[in-house]
Amino acid sequence: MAVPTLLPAVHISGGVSIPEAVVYTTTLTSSADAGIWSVGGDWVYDTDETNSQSGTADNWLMMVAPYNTNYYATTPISYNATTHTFTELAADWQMYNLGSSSHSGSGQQLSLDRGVWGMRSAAASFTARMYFNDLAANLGSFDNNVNTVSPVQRYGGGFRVNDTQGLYGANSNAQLFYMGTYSGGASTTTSASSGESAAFYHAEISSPGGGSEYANLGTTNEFLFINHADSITFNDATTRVDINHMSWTGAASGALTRTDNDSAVTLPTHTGSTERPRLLATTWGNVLIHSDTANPANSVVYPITWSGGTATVGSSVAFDGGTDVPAGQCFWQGLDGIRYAGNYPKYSCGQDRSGSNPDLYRTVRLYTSGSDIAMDTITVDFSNSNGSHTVTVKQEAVHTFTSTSSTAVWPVFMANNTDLGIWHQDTAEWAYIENAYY
Amino acid sequence: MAEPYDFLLAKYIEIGKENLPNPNFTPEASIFDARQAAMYNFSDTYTEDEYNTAMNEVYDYILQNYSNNFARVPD
Repeated sequence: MAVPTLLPAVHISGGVSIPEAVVYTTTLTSSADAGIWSVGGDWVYDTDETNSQSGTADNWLMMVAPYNTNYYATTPISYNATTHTFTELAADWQMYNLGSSSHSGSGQQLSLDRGVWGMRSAAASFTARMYFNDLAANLGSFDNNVNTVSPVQRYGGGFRVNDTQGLYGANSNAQLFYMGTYSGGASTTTSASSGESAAFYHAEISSPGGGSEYANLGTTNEFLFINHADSITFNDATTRVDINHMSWTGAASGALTRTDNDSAVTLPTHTGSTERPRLLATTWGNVLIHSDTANPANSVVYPITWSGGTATVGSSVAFDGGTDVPAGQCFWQGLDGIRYAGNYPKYSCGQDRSGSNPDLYRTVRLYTSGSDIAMDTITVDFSNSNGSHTVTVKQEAVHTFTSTSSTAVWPVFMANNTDLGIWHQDTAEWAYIENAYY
Repeated sequence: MAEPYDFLLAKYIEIGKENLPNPNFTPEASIFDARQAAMYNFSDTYTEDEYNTAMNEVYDYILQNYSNNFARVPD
């Protein structure tokens, strides 16, 4: 059984009662350690969602093993919320084997047991494939694994946009997108190709904000992507940010239409910082977060509103965390449930789930502390459409990942809106934190 | 082909290790920064397809052997 750690008993701060954080740690490792691509069950589902795998596990997750000598695989693992321990339910099983030793890709959860994957292999002229799939009740296979498109000479992955829509995005050897809709089963609807062009290079994605449902703040059939003058190279001299808007008809083989917003943002000088800007969706539009890792006080947030595909970018606002909570130490990518690249679940979306403020994001700050990585839990309120926002530290130094310099983590924000599960890849440590947020 | 591959691999590892304190580091995007560095270094000695092939192979190597965990990649 995992042993809980209670933080020092600090219950009152500034006259405000702070719930005590309780941290349960255990090891989460298997032959698969390239991320968590899907999470399901009571701990994350809304009360109106059904766990189709309840006969197998009340709480579960799927980890990813990258192709090595055999195939891309995934490992089903259950979580006991009472003992805070994991059980590997079965050996990893093959998801994809497209042949050849050069083989890669990534996948993400849409909702429930459904996912979107993009795979590529050096075999057959580097044929890439976009898949929509759903998991079997025993988590030991796919019930459906629908290959929707098969472009050649492409290299990319599958990206979540909302509960029922995902993208296949390729950055190389040529650049393009497909968008598709999937609600489980064998039926899918997929757009036409965007066409191929360096204009489709993408280093970050989101969707025009306007919704309010958890992990669905974007706009149906629309997505955004960032590049820099038709390139994704970003160095400490890059200041031009193009925010491209894509709109799909929603019909099978329907067109994807791009609206350029070239030079939508001109970043301030950020000498010594190569941190890419991040986009998040809000109920009123989007925010672009520019983190200056060399000079944290220069980090800024831009508000963005939309009229069709045309962006209006407001004046920048200094990041509220300043130098105390540097923006470059905060986990942002995919925090709105819309993520470019990597194997990630829906529940890495940090949006508040209480319904009281959909623009309140929960996240973590990770920072070097001696030879360890320490972690604070924080919230950021982006409800003001002028870009002003509030950063609040909820639990300071709530946990430490020891003897590591890596900050690669997979957060899982729980349905109760207070607890956080977080997997630290380098140490293979999982921390479940009760009252991480309050 | 060994030349751009080796350069790209070294640059990609350098970028990955520099970004260990960055919780938003994206290997899938940063491999392009490594490719750009190689193209700048070797110019038109190689074709764009050759740079792309080297880039894809470097990316696959780090993913398959280290799960994109640069803390485990030897210097």
